[in-house]
Amino acid sequence: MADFVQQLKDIVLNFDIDNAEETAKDAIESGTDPLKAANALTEAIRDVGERFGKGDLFLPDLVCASEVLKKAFPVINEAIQKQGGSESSVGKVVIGTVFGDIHSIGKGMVATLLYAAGFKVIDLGINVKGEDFLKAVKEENADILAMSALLTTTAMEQKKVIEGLKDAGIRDRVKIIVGGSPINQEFADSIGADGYGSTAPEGVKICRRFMGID
Amino acid sequence: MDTREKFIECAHFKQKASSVKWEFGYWGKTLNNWYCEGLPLNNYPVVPVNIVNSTASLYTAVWRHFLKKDKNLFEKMFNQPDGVKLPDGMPVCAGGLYWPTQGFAVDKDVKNYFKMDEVQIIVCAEQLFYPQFETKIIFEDEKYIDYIDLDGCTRRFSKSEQVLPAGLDWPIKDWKSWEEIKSQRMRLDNIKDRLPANWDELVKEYKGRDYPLAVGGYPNGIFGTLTHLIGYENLFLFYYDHPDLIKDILDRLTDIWIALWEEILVYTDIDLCNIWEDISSGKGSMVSPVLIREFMAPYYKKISNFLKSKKIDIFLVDTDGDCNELVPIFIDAGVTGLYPMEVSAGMDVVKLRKDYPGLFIMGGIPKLEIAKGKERIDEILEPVQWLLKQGGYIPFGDHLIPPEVPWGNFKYYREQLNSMIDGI
Repeated sequence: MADFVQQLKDIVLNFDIDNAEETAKDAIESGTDPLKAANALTEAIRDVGERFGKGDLFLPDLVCASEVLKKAFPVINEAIQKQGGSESSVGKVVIGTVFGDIHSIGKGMVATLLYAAGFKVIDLGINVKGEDFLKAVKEENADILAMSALLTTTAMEQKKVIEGLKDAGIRDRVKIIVGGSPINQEFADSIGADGYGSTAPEGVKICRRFMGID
Repeated sequence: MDTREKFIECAHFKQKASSVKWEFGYWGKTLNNWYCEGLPLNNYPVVPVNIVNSTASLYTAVWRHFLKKDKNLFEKMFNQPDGVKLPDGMPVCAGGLYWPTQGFAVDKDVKNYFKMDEVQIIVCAEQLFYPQFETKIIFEDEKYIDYIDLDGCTRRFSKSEQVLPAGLDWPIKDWKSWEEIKSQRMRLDNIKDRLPANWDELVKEYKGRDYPLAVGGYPNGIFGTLTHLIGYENLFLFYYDHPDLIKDILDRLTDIWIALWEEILVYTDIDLCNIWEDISSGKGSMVSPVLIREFMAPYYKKISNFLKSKKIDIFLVDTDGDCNELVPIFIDAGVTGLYPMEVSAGMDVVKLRKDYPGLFIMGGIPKLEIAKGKERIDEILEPVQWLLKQGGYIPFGDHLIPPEVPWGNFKYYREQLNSMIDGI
């Protein structure tokens, strides 16, 4: 029997987008434990994330590995849910680029590295309205809200979302991290965020700290 | 010596030659501040509204739209009844950054105040698509304008921010869309049509020029152009998924450039080639040296071989951020100079001069430090004397001078720097 666990690791490490979904389907159909399959993907993306953090891998590598996950993971996740199981995680993060801002690379990097670090990531995408952040935080019972902004004007959207959480009475239920090129620690403090990451790996470290890891 | 002669001598490390007095440029807000703080207002920077070619596009379609739509709205928006207020988020070229580019304005008042050199100019010809895509506004509300630009890219302009418009959609999505563009807009049998209608007039001006004349410039780069035509994330995926497509695009792109530049050289000589990349962030190159060697270096060699065959030996790359690990790759591929050497990202021009004695360097002065006062300005200018003596160096701020720098500080910095240049 083929070693599908190894094959799942390999599709991530080799950035094999074309075979990602098929390999995941073959793994499940051949009887591979879906939790073991999920762990294989997680281990591999963690390896990619660590090598990116050290400067051994570059943005195209991270983007491609992330694309492999997007194709393979839904297949595995469906199988886990059919079994009545759930994927373990160190915490749940709702992430997105704020309303009015369509930049996705930085947000995508953080989302991939968070996933690699064992978080469950709910990626709302780009141009996310404040009410959608609020809804996701509530419905997902998120531990962390991560918001990205690349423009100085849209950076203020981060403040609006935080105000919205306060108004909804759920600000204290969630830790908030902000990032993006116009953001710095001073700005993060001024809008009432709990943390600021100047790079994607630093953002992940802060999220781990929020969860009491490290 | 005029600017052109000084630039050529400097790029060739003629140590007796005076360096060139340029800045990379300024943000619109910086100049708007300076006019209030003492910079004499004689020639307010003009925001270009006429669409010329894809080198000068990006912003231009939007300003043109404002003017066409409602001049009063334009006046209201920019609070300037007798002209267009320079948008705070718009860059203004100042010599180190060639003109025209991206629809940016060009400075005259700072240049005249400090008796600085003439701005380098990019030859006016269509270096990307011919025919160009038709510019079209596809959406507008109180905050944004979405439009299709000359390069087929759909961009979003923020009315309040007014910074560089961001890409929403890109013209090359797969082999099919590329083949269509290649057969319609990247043909090799109509190269001459890429020259503008007033070409004869321009040639006359170029022949009597006192400024460096370049080919290339924005958005022409082996990485840079692809980000415009494919989008960053798609390009990163294509490097792995469609390497042949990337190479086919680059083959045709460089064929077009070389054929067009050869045509231009029939009418006028040129002094240099500028390539725009912006491939590095503050944390290093976005793309690995392995990918650069496979997807970029061969095309750089193709261009540098052409330039050498035409005895053009100044081949520069404009790339922001930390490009330390890329310098030897660029040099090996035939590049002779780099700028603007962002110090805050980790670029050290003294170390680079020692490590690469033959590399022509422009920029490398930490722009934000100028805001910290005379003592700090003296410190950051301290290595400049030595660098100027080595030759092959044009000192200026390591990117656009930001609005944090007051006019008084800039005045002190530029006067000190100019006296160093004059003293060599």
